[in-house]
Amino acid sequence: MTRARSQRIANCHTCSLATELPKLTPKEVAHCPRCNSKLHLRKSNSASRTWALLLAAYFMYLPANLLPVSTIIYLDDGQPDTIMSSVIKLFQKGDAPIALVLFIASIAVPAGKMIILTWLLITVKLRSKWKPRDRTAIYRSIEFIGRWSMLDVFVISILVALVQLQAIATVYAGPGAIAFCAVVVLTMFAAESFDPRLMWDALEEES
Amino acid sequence: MSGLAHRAPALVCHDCDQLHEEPRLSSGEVAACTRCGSVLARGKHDVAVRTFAYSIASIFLLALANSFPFMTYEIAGRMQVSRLWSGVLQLHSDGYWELALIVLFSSILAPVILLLCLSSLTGAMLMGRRFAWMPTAIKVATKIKTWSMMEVFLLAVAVSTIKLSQLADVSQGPSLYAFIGLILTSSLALSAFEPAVAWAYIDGEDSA
Repeated sequence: MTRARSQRIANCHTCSLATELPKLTPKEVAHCPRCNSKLHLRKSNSASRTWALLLAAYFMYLPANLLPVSTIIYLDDGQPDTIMSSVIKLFQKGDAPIALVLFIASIAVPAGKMIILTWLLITVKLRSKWKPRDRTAIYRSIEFIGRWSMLDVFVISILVALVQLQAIATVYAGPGAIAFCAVVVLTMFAAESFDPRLMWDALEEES
Repeated sequence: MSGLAHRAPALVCHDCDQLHEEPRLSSGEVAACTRCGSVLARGKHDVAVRTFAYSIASIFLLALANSFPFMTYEIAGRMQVSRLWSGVLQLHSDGYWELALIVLFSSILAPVILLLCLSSLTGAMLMGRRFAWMPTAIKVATKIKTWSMMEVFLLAVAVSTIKLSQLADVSQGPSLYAFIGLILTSSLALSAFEPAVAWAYIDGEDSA
């Protein structure tokens, strides 16, 4: 089983061209002959960059869940809702399927994604050899599923535009929505900056 | 301060760094990594002409989706009509410009940029021309793909409709149907496209 790094072959992150890296001094950078992107054997500073984005996402997770994301006022009645309270309200009204969709997209996926990325980073740090193939598959799935968390942000934008009948019914966005949006965007960037090859590098170090 | 790397005739897995020989794929075949199982390459036929057709159809539907009412909301005899981008304007005027920006980018701008890149790129490939902007177009298209979230937006339309259905009558405008068609044609355009074929075309291999 040969891996590209042992042959000093870089895989262009932009155009997937395989190239033999020339001998470089620490200050030099090699460029892809096809698309001119900078070449690296691994995404640069992958672990620390992912940690930084992830910690920022954890930090924003609190206001995202504690502050109201929207307020629906119907005939002068209504109070601000957080993500959790709007899901609970939908359950109580009997809209269980929609409540479930919102629960998965707005609560389960962002939280699960942050926990899984943290765990992946820890396994890389500990040079774990545990099932790298499964960990890679898990990584790919969180990278794929992350964008669906934007659901609630879009729902709010549709509702504020549609329900603007001042005396009867109005929907307002709340500050929690900005924090929630930040969590989604930060975790998307965090997943992108994580380099799954680091999980496979640990397997080779002792053999 | 920079060196140009030499090409190596190999295909490397982005997920686990395994080296493979470059596969020759016929249409419909998928090359998977021998070590981690990730997809390395997909064999596709008529990449340029199919991507061009679907992305031109998408641009047409995108124009339609932005030209008519998207949804209407009726309560006690009063009606409110909204368009595709009304949410962006309302969020902006409510002072939530950060949200307005993200929604504008992910539901309108990113799809527009993606479709313009794909159609101009494959259009040039069909004419047999090579332009200096083509590498940039491939780069932008592959990077912006995850940020184009029209299908998430469509799910949000369904969720909002059900959320409001107990308060009032929500009905769909012609733009919504164009939008659904747009999601269909643009995902066909994306699945017909293969960056590796476009890069090979720029390299001078005429196998579009």
